[in-house]
Amino acid sequence: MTSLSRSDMLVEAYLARVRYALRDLPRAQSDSMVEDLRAHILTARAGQGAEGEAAVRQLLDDMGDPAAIRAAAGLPPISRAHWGDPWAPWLLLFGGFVFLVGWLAGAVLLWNSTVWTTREKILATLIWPGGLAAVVYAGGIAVVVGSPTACTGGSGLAAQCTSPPGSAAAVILAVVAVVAPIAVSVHLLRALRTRVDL
Amino acid sequence: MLEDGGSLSLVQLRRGVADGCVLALLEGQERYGFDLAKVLSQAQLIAGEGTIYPLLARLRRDGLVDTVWRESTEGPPRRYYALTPAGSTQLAQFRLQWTRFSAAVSALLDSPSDNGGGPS
Repeated sequence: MTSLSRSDMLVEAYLARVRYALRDLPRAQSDSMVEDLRAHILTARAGQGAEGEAAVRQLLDDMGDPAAIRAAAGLPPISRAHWGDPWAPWLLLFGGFVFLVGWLAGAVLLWNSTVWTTREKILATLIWPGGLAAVVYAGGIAVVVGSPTACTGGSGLAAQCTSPPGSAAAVILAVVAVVAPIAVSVHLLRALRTRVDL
Repeated sequence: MLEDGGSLSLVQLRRGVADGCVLALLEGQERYGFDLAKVLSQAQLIAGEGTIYPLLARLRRDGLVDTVWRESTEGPPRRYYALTPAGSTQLAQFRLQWTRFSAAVSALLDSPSDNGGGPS
């Protein structure tokens, strides 16, 4: 539609900060609050003809700090980034190669952090326990178990039993198994970069 | 459940002041959020106009206020807030508690020498 003016961008940036400050609220609640704030700002701008950048900045100051809005929503204050936060995604991915201890350390740092949401923490823990090391290990087992002579039901990956080794399904499975934890760790790192000042 | 005044802790009262004032503003007339925010922030009862919305959302969840959309002559429809019967009851309680609280504090402030000098 129309391009955003500098004032519009200030408003959008403010609303984005509020949305982020309310990130642990149920989505419907934070959405509704952000919409209320947007309507309030619109009304204020229309009322006072506040289109200049200074007027809009003043208006946003009057709205209150996103942290104050968070507090008013009954949420606990967000603490600063922990020294371990930048390490967690890397340890989750590669720590498994240092016996299992490295991955466990990553998991501890992950769950101690206040940066990531519980959903992200669960995701990062489940994909995969042990990280890439687990994929390599499981891949090794699958190759052995899935050799042409045997197809055991109890161990190895299920796909190995329904398709011969080297088939397209097995390759796709392997790629997904490797890419998934990398994608999760990349997401954790990006979230970290956007959410806190390190 | 709780005896008279037993539910009234200082912390609850302090936190409830802004809530109580919103209920009072809604007594007898519905208002929209912008209006409430202006009044409360000018009275410095809230930490910023935007903090009214989490507060209103909480009052709504607690069933103390109701909302209704109304057309506006100037701009998009507005969400108006109105007191529910439960909200009226809550407001009556707040009035009582506030009167007692402010009377108690005033009494202490007016006669500081009567308080004793602490443990000795």
